[in-house]
Amino acid sequence: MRNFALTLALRHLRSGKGQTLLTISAVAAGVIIVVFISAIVFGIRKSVMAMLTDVLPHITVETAEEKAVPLARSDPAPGLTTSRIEKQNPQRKFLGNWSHDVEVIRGIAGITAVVPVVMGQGILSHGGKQVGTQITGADPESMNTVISIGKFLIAGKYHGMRSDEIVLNYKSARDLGVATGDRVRFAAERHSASFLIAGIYDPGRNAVRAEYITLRPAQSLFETGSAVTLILIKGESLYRSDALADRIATLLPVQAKSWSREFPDVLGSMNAYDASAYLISGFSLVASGFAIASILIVSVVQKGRQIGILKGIGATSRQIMTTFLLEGLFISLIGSVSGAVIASALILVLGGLRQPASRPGGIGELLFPSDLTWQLVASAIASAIATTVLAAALPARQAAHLDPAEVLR
Amino acid sequence: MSEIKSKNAIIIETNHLYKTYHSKVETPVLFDVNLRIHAGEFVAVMGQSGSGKSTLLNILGCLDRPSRGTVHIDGQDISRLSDDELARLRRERIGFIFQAHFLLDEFTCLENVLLPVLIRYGYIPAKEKEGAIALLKRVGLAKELHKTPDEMSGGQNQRIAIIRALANRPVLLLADEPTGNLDSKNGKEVFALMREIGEETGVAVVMVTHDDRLALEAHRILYIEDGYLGERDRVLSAPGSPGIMPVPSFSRMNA
Ligand SMILES: Nc1ncnc2c1ncn2[C@@H]1O[C@H](COP(=O)(O)OP(=O)(O)OP(=O)(O)O)[C@@H](O)[C@H]1O
Ligand SMILES: [Mg+2]
Repeated sequence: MRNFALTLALRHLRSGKGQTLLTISAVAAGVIIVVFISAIVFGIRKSVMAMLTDVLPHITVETAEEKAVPLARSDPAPGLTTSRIEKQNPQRKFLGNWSHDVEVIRGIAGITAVVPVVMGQGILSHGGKQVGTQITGADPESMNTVISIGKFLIAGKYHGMRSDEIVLNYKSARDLGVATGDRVRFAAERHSASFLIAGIYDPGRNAVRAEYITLRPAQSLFETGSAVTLILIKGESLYRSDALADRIATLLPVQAKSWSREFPDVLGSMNAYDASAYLISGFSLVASGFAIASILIVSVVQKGRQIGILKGIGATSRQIMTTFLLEGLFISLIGSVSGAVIASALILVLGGLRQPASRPGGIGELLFPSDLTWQLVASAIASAIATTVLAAALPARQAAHLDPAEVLR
Repeated sequence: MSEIKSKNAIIIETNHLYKTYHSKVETPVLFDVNLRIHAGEFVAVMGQSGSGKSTLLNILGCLDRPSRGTVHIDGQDISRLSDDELARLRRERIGFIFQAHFLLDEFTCLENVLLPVLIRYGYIPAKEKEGAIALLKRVGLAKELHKTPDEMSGGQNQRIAIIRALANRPVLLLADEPTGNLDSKNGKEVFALMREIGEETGVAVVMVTHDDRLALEAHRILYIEDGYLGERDRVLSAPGSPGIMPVPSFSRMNA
């Protein structure tokens, strides 16, 4: 070892075992809190976001709400007025011009998937059992780019589904007591149809009950003619959906609803989670910094005479300062790395735990969804090292400025 | 040995040195000290408790600065030196022996002796290590090389402190009551060791002591009273004169 300060720093750490252990533990504790809290919070965010991405369209386009339009202007043919109002008013409005709308929306930068659908409510029945549900008719290939039904399939198929086939939600299948190959009947307000169960999917316990068929039978069931009720859209980024929705609304006479406006709480609580993760991380680093600073200050006071002797026999202030800074550096290195290892191990163990499965034979959701990345670990280690060295700077300065004549009296 | 000082080389020279402490109250301690100590001299410093012996030694050892006047150590005016240069002067030219032995418990006996070398070079050259071992053997500490200070007696510790003070082959050895904490037998041994090494190496030794019998063995005895430094008449220590003598006269020294 070719350095006096380094040699002395290591001797100090070795001889002051209790203090060394205490300071290392303080750093480790800080890092454990930072890594653990952040990994869990980021994990929750990630799983919520994944859930959103898998089961929610980013933007939903509907027909513009009925505006108060003067009859005279809206109705070029007198005499047809009465019948038109009767025919249209009690019904939902549809997107008649959807193929044009889809073209326009596809042309907007940042949009990755566009699927026209017919969605409606009805009753699903089989052998005397009934469940109320929502059904969506769409081309399976396109639909799967917006809502990952294929990913959640537990039986059968979704892709290549025929027009007389249906994919059931696991809950509906369970309640009706049916399996793939069985037939179910779906009854809308005015029409009903029988479907062969092509597949069963399970998106998890919190997802809404929804069944999927192809577009054409849905159009018949809900009497939309060649129109659709909704256009579902996915963008590149979950966070840009507001802007994209606004863009669509300016280009087309439709209503474009962004998920983040429909569920403002989700983003708000995500941000609150993030903020608290940063806050807790910051506070625990500051707390461990203070703990380390006070332990080191005591140790400098205890070593006052020794520092005086060393200066008396020719050690420079810089050598003394370097000694204590190096001690801080070693403490922070050992403490933060061991803290990171402990926290990572803890997360790996807890990360394997799952909630009870929502169906027999299924895999439950994670109890602690966590997102442990090397970036997180590295930044926790780096900030702990910075904090500790900063905390050591004060005692180090104090030591460097000790007056040897004073302490050797 | 870095330099061999001729007998006449002046190691310490102070001119009109004053020291006043400015704490809550002004404490004037040293007045107009004019002192000259040559290479190879063995000088005892005596005086009442609180008379300023440690103050003088600290100034000579560059641990403290005079309020007024100049101090030259080995030809260098210490008031012109930066803190780092003073540290270097202490490291390379001065050996300091403190009243309590003040070794570092983190290091073994041998390592303690070599601390000034470690501070100076950052590591311990084999040659220095051999020299230190030889010296430790000579003072009867062959078996203690790898013990730590808390495993050794006070006398052993103080002998290590002396050897440590000589580790970088200084030209000046300052000792503030090196025997103060030792019994008379150990005190004598430590004193004898200092004299012996002083004579061998030609280092100038300035030693504060309260022990008249030890002081009488020095080449010169300086006495501080009322802030003034005087030189005690060697005649007073002539054989047959009992105990401590009153100090008959103080000549302002311009030795
Ligand atoms: N830092 C200081 N501030 C104020 N006064 C001081 C300071 N250091 C020493 N003194 C005073 O200066 C005087 C000389 O102190 P010094 O330590 O030099 O005495 P001494 O001769 O070594 O005494 P002793 O034999 O007890 O060691 C004393 O009166 C002491 O109170
Ligand atoms: Mg003293």
